[in-house]
Amino acid sequence: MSDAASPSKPALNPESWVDQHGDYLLGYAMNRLRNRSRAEDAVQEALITAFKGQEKFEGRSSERTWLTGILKYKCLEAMRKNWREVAASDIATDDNDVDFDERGHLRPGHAPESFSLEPGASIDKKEFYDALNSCLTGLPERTAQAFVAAEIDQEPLDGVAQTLNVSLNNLYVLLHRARKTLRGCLEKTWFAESDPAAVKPSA
Amino acid sequence: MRMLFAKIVFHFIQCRETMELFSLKLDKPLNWRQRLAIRMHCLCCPGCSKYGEQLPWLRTAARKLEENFNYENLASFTPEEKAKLKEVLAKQEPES
Repeated sequence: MSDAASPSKPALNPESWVDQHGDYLLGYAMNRLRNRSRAEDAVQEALITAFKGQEKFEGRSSERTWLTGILKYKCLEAMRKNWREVAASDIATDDNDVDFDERGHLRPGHAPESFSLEPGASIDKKEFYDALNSCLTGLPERTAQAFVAAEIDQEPLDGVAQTLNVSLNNLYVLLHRARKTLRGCLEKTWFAESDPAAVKPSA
Repeated sequence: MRMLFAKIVFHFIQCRETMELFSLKLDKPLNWRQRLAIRMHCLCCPGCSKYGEQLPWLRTAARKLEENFNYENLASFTPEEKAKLKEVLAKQEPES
């Protein structure tokens, strides 16, 4: 009878979650929290929340996507807890930015190179996302988390600022730094090697 | 002093500020002074012009990261940890 009540709703298999999705979820949380024990806690909390809330699964996404969505919020909670006591002291100044001279001009050799923005050129290649993620891993923790929450999760910025315990203006600075560094990192690690057409011809 | 005059009257800004504004533009609407300043600067700075095209592209790429990246290879639970986690889950009761 219960099957007839919701014929199109796919079943969840909680007993297989740990084996099927455990490592994926742990990797996801590690990537965001950069701390094994905090990541483990977040995964456990997410699985418990999912288990208790099975009724809320509507089957619009895959089981893994649904679990990841819950984990995403557990990670944001863990970030909020982590930064609550840590004031952002070093955000306002960025004097040692090697790309600029003392007047704020780009130094020779530090100007952005052109690279192909055509979707087919890289944005559709799986390997591109390995490069993007490793560039993301190279950012300082709070900067990376700002970028992930604002750009990947598309959380509202005032919420992100609260989560990271920074002012909205400081969040803008963090996002600027993240974008600038990621762009430069991709230019060096991805475009320089994979896309010879985009490299500036040597004069 | 001359720079300050140029900044106020002609909205001249340097690369550093231009790149900050290009980022800010993704986060909130810029005012007309800021938009004009970017335009003026990019007229004579190909590097920043490229930067301004690449940032929205970076945003598009970032939004596709999750569906294209395999997090499975980053970390894994030990068999003992998995057993413990299953035990914890087995104790839970679904809410109805």
